[in-house]
Amino acid sequence: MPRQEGYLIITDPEGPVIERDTLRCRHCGRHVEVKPATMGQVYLIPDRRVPGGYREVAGAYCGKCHAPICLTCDTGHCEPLERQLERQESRRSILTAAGLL
Amino acid sequence: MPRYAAPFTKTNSDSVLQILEILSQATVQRCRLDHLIVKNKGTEAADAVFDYVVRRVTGSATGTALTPNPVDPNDAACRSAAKHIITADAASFSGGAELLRVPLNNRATFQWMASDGQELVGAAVNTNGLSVGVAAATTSTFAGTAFFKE
Repeated sequence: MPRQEGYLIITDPEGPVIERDTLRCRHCGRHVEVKPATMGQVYLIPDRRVPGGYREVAGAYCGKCHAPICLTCDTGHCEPLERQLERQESRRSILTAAGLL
Repeated sequence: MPRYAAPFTKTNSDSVLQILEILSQATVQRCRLDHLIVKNKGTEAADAVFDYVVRRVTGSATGTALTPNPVDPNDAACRSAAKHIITADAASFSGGAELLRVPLNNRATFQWMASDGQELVGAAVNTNGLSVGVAAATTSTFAGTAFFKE
């Protein structure tokens, strides 16, 4: 069972307190809400068109880094968050060193 | 890793998306948002849905500077720059990578917290970082606190 990575509490005076776990996408770092008692296998995607405001969707998993990912990153291409951040940071430092920023 | 608290408000009547931004400065470091509490402070008479979002940004908004305080008083002063009471959004906010989206009734309060190592991360690039806001521009008033590490 995946360990808890994030936790969300919504306190609404008009309704019950909602508590949900969130999972972090290993590719982009986004946290997605997961359906309770599904071991992170079902994501809850905000969608105002459906009752309750959430659409249930099967979760995604990267077979290369063996970790859960968000649906946006479910493209078959594996680039972990750390590599994306390093690329972004090194690009900026190269441009700065070249006097382009 | 020192942890900082950034209590923020949005009290102006400007119609904007952003509520808070935390950006790296010239001495760069990644900021890691691990706890967020947000409440709509308006006297909302009718139900309405707000989509609260956290996005990566690559530029600064126009607003009031705030000084994040170290949670442990023995820690050094925060190196990141933060702004609230935003009056003009950063151009990069709308298209920034979305890291969290929580839709809820405007009368509700929400808080989100991350486990150690699972925080929302902003790049260590000058004037890059994280921003808390809403998905549709609003004149409503908000208050809350963001906790982050750097």
